[in-house]
Amino acid sequence: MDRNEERAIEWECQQILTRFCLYSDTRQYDKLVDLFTPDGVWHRLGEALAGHEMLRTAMEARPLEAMSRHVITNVLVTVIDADHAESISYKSIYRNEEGELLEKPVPLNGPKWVSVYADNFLRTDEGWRITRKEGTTLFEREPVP
Amino acid sequence: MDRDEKRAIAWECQRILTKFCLFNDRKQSDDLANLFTPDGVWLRLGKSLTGRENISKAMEARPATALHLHLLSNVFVMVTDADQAEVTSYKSIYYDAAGESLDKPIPLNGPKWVSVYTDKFVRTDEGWRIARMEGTTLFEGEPGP
Repeated sequence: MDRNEERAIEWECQQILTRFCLYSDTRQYDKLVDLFTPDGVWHRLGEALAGHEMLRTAMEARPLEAMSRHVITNVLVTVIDADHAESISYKSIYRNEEGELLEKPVPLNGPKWVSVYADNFLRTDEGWRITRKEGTTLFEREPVP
Repeated sequence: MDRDEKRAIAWECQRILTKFCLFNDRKQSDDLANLFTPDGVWLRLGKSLTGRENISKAMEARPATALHLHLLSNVFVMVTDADQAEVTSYKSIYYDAAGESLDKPIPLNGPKWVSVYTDKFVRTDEGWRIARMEGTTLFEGEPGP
């Protein structure tokens, strides 16, 4: 594969990760779940969420009043072949437990978490989709007194 | 040169910087050094590191326990001609001197440094490579509790 083709795939996968953050932050869980293949797995907080139903259930269990913004950077996509790719990315996650109920802007004390993510992608008839996602939280801010 | 070609070059240079952050954070010192041209120069902390061996050695000299995460953003690539480009970028660097030996997540107090970089890239037979890198640290966080 030449670099032009690889670059196009790198862009597509990066867009999927950007959409993942947006749909997570704006609670568009149907759209979020559709970014995964039907048997896609998200290793999240020590639990393996496998398939769209488990993914949606876990997302819908998130507290409605909590406000999050996942700021994604450092997306490095590596194309494996015409139908497979993998990526590493970093996320800074801003969070306020009651943020959705409060007037904006809410007080800020830097990101709550800084994490590293590894993702695997597969080309499907609908476009590139996530087959496996795993995040590791490296930094966590102490609760503010 | 048309915009498609310039966009392709911009993408390649941004990808090199993303790799630079990842290899730096993962302590892959030789992989990091190979992102530079053989005679590439990195002006780092008031010292001029010239050539891949010196760059790799300086990376290896960092304490093994230190955990770094270089968050890259604001990558602006100005294509000089078909074989040269100049890139400015920002980095927010999270750091813990003992982080590699600690349980994750480790306490977070915002980025330790916020820096601006100016890098010169050249096209080589291996792809785009860094001919000169210079970073300036604009902000430095207080030591944590």
